[in-house]
Amino acid sequence: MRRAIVLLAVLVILAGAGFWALTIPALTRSGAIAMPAGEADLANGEVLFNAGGCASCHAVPDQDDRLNLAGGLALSSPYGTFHVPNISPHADGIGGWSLDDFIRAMREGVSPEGLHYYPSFPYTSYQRMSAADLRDLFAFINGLQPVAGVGRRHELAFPYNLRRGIGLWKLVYLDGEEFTPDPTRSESWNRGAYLVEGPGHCAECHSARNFAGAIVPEYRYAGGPNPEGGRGFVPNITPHETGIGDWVEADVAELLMSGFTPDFDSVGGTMAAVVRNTERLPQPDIEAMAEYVMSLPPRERSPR
Amino acid sequence: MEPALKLRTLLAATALAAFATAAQADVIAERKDIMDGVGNATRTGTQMVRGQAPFDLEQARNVLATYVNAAQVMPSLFPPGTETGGETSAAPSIWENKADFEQKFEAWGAEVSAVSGSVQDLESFTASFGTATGSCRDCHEEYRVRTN
Repeated sequence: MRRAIVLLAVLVILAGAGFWALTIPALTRSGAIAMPAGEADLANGEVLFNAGGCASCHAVPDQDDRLNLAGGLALSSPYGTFHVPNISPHADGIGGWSLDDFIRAMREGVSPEGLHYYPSFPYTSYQRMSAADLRDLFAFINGLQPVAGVGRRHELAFPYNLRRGIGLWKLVYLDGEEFTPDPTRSESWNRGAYLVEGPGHCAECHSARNFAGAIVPEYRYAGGPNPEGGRGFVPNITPHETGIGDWVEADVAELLMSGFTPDFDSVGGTMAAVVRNTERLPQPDIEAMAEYVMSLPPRERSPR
Repeated sequence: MEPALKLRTLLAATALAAFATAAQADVIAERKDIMDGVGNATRTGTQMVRGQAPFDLEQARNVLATYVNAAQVMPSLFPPGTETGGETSAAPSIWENKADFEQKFEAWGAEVSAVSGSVQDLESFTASFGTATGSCRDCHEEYRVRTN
C-alpha cells in the first residue's frame, strides 16, 4: 500500500513536470524572426487592418470610432468569457512593443512577457501573414490614438483558466507555417487565399471545432455552431449545395462589399461587423477573396 | 367535475393550444413573408440604381412603400411564444430589448417616409434608396440570427 502511494506520488510529480516542460512558452517560440527590410507602408497596413477585422473585436463597444482600440468587448464561449484587451498604442495596450513582440504575438500567440494568448485571438490564422505585412500593420496601429485602460481578466472555467495549458494546445494545433503561394494558381487566387486564410481568418467562425476548440479539417469552411453560443449557425461557405453552391464569385464579392446575399438579405450577427471591415477593402482584394472562396473544396455542411 | 365536462374542458384546452400553435406558426410565416418582400424590393431597387434594370417611377415608389409597410407591420409580429419554431431567424435579443427593437422599426419607417416624397427620377430615387437601405445591417446585427 505504501509503495502504491509512493508510486502514485512519483507519477503525479512526473506528470506535473511533463506538463510544465511541454507548456513552456519558449517551446513554441521560433528562433530569431527574419525582420522585413524597408520602410513600413501605412496604406498597406490599413488594408491589413481591415482585412484582419481587428476593429471588430478590439474597438471599444457601443461607440462609433472603429479606430479606438482600447478593447473591452466580452466574447462568450463554451469555456467562459474572454475580455478583449487594449491594442491601442498606449502603455496599457501595445505601446512600447517592438516589431519582434508584435510578430511573435501574431504568429506564435505569445505576449512580450512570454505568456500564452488564448486562441480566441486567431493567431492560428494570423501566423500565415508575411513579416512585411505584419510590419505594415504594426505601423498602422501605432499611428492610431493611444487610449488608456486595462481590460478585465478573462473569466474561464477550470481547466481552461490554466493559461499554461495553451502550450500543449499549440504543440498540437499551431503549425507555425507562413502562407506559401500555389504556383499553379493565378496571382489573384493566391492573393485571395492569403487574405482569407491569413488576416481574414474566415475559417475561425465558418468551421466546426472539436472538443479542444480546434478546427476539424473536414469541416473547414463547412460552417459550424456560433462559437459565441446561442442557437445561431455560421453558414457553410464552400460551393456545395448545403453551402453557397448556387453562388458565383460576384455574389461573394457583393456580400463582402455591401452585406447583401444574392436574395438581397442583409447579413446579420457578427458578419455585419465583418462587412464593416471588408467594405473598406480595395476592389481587387474583394474579388480575389471571392475567387478563392468559390474555389474551396465543396463540403457538406457540418453537423449541428 | 363530471367526466363529460372534464373531457370537454380537455378538448377545448387542446383545441385552444393547437389554435395558439397554429397562430404562432402563422405569425412567424407572416413576418418571414414580409422580410422576403423587403428583400425582393431591395433587389428591384438595387437593379434600377445600378442601371441593371430600366428606371420605373412606379416601381421605385413601390420599393419604398414596401419598406414603410414592413416597418409598420413588423413590430406586432413578435408576440411572446414566437421566439422559436418555423425556422425563425429572429434573435432572442428581440424579446430582451423589445422597446429598442420596435423603436428601430419606427425610426426606419419614419426615415423612409421622409425620403419617399422626393422621388421623381433615378437620381432622387438613388439618394432615397441609399438612405432607406442604410440601416438593414445594423438591425440585423443585433436582431437576426442565422440558423442554417
